[in-house]
Amino acid sequence: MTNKSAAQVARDIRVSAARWTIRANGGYLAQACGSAEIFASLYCNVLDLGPSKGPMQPPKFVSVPNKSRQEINGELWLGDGPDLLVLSPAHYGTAQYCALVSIGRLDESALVSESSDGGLLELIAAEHSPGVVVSAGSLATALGVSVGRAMARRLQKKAGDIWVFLSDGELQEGATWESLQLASAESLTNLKVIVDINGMQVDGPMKEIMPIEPIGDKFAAFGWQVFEVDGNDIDAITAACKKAQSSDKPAAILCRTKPWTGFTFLKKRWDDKKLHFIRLTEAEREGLGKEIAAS
Amino acid sequence: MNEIISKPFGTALVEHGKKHKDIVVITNDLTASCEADEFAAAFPDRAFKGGMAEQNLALTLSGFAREGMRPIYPSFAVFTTRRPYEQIALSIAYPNLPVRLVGFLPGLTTPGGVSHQAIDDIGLMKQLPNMTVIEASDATDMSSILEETYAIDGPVYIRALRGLVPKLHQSPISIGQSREIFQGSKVLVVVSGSLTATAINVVTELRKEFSDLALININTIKPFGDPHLFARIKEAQTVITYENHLITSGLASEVAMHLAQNPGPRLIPVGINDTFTHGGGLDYLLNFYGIDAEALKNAIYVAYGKAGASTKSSDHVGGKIELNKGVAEGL
Repeated sequence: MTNKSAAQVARDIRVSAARWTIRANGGYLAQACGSAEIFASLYCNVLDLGPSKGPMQPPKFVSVPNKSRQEINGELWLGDGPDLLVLSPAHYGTAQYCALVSIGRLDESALVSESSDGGLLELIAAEHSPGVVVSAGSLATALGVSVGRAMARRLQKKAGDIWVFLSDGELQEGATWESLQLASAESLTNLKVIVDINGMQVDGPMKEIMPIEPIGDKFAAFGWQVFEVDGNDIDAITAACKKAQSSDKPAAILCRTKPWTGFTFLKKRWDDKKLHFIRLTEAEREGLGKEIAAS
Repeated sequence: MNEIISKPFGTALVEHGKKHKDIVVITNDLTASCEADEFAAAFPDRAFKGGMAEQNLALTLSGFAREGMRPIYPSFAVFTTRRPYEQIALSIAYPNLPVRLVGFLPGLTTPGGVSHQAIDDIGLMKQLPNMTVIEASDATDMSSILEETYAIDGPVYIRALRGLVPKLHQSPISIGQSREIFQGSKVLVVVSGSLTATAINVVTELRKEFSDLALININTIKPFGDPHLFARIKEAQTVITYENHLITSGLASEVAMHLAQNPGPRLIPVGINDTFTHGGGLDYLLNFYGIDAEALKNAIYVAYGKAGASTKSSDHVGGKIELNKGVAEGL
């Protein structure tokens, strides 16, 4: 699917997301920087996706879903399986688009031409956005949809796994736990969850706003097989995912990530507790530009 | 050019907290984004973080209210209203508790796409018995709405504006009273909320051509019953409603209900017409969904018997998405 190494894909994601943030004067850069190794590991080392069925250059937005629409579906870019990746927090749309570019499923120019008015690469993704399966900008909705799909696929005797990318913020929503509960009750071995635990939310560090630890114990108590790894370590993520593929329970890979990875100003942002949505100051813009050029 | 006020709600919330000791503020994860950070700094004992757990948060509001307090929940309107709807209906509206639900990012005022655009919040809230529904149209409204609604002994939904907000009105908001901006007899534009500034500009311009074109601003969607407004509607030949919301459940539907019982003028609704929406810049979205200044002008021309051409365009591309610079964090 791609000849690139996962490490290269992770680098690509960061640089593309940083360029996006400079261009748009705002973006979800820390989400992309923290999760780059997760997307890279999944696409390069774990997922068995069919070839993309979406065009390299996405069409313009035509309409939201309605009765007469021949709708474009973000799932096209993920192929026909057997595996499927479902992005839950739509704020990671940028990370997903940049990953698709890196692995050759989307033309790089689309990051520019399709991220403004009338383009499908929305800042908070919807299910017409390339690589996006569920319109889940209201958090903690994609997992429940994925539980339903996993149950249906099992009934239909379809091979492959549904992988759901979750963010730790979504663990604050009760709906997440309802979904985990049903997956466990149904013993869904074809459902895998990979969680980006970056420890941040809009208001600040999660441990100061609404603590959710111990995450691993909570998943285990809900009947899930739990793997806990350094979420910026490709080998560790990959190894855990491989083990999860043969789990006899629904399995979760908990990835402890550093959302400031890649660019120095992000660490200061983390320390200042302002990392959710990045609007660059002039100094940040200049510094980021230099770091991109040097990378 | 209108005066621009920075964070009128945030400033008013602190004053409100000073005056009323029974006020508490609970936020999900949008404290600074919804201008509650200054209140939290001033009154740390009365500011709570409920986490991204809106259903439980709504129940918590009910609990505070049942203990005699007046809880305020500011968030983005989709997370204020739609996400915890069942909990609001049965645990806040049904027992008629004095909870204040404040919903920012009304209609298409956010680039955040379908998950963040509240196009149905007024409809959801107004159909709940006991609920009062207010839509703010400027900084003056946002500065005065909390005090004005304080005495209401039941739940209130406030559709709110944040960040840098234009000041259009001089006198504070008064529940149930519309504001007559231009008087006229033939065609009456009734506007609510964030499109009020646009309506003022359009009507100002077109009154050069149509001197009997009138404009009234509405802030109280429910209870909908300002006698002065009804008198003006009765005098008009055409009423144009103009709103940043679905016409099926917002301002147009209230006027339609009134006209069905008090037949007279015809109604031309300008608003979002039975569709979900997508993300993009404000000007682009207002144009795409047919609620920009041109759409209002067209409706006025139609009302005066001069057919306007549709300006709705689906091939408008390339605009940069602008963010409200008065807002520190979050979309």
